Amino acid sequence: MFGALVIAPQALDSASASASADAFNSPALSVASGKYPVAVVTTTGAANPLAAYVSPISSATRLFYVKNFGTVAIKAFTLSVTGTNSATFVIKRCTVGANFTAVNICSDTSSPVTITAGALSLAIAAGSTQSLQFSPSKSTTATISVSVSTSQVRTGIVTNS
Amino acid sequence: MKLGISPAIAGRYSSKIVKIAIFATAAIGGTALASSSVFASLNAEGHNVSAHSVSTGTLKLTHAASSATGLTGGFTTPITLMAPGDTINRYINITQGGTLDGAALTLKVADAAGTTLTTDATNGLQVTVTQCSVAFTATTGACSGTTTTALATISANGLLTAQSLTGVSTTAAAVSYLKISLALPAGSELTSNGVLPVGTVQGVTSTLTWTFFETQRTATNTNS
Repeated sequence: MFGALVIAPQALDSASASASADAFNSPALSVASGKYPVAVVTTTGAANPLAAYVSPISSATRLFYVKNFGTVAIKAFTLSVTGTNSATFVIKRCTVGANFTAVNICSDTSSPVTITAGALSLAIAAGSTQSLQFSPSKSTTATISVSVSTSQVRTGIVTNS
Repeated sequence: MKLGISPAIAGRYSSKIVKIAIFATAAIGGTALASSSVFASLNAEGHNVSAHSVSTGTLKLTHAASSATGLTGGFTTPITLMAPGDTINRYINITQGGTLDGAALTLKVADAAGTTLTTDATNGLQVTVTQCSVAFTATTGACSGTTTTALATISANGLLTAQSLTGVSTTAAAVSYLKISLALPAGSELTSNGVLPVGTVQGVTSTLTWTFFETQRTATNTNS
């Protein structure tokens, strides 16, 4: 049980003295929020770059990873891909829930699916990655950004505890 | 009584001598009066055989986590990893443990850490207090009795100032069953390229002290 008994005169004047009581928790209740910083990296074990991926790349097909460096899962993210020299990109993913194990090879043996940059409904658990395959039309300096809005974070949960 | 002094001296100090004589006479006379039964007086007293008991009441307020299975987190068990849209319900029993009725029950919160959870009135924690007329149901937290709103939704920032709790009993010996709901609003933060936005509510920890406070009932004047 938490609380305290306090009977404290509120004034020295006996004509107006009164008692009061309070009850409070000790120690204090710790309330912490999670986080969901997500970034594009070239290896699954990479550290958070804290920046968009910007780098000259050839026209070769390659894999990138969208990694959730946070503690809260996301259900979607928004991908933006641009390139200099008027380059275009073919972006592919595996079946939802699967990842590339190598270029054009999905972990579930499914065939890669072409997607368009923008809002992608691909869930990423905290600390996990989602692989994507990029094929630039020509050599270019690519800028690959990813963002997460609050509406793309996992659905809110009501907990009775 | 004869005074052995010369007439000259007596004439010079006649007024003082007269005063001394008067005082001496009065002193002697007073002594005589005190020992005389002519001036005796009578006294009387009355008292209660059984002593009159006068006692004070007590004003005692305590709170404790619900004892219902699954609802025992109270203000003790830490809340972790809240995400936008999450709501955590904690169940608290308030007991008026004294013999006096209380009045003007309020609730406020203090945050020793002072994070955006309590400094941001819009994106930070939102608090609602709901009362059930009976103990909340174990695990589900459902109310099988009558539900009333003791405190409409207010930001934790707003609750830094004491707020009145409506309908929560301050009657001596009463127990009130409260559900404290802490919600993190969906908000509109955009997190880009692994960088948390400035002023984010992500990844912060507040330490909250919840204080219930009441005064004694209005003092009374009784003829009895």
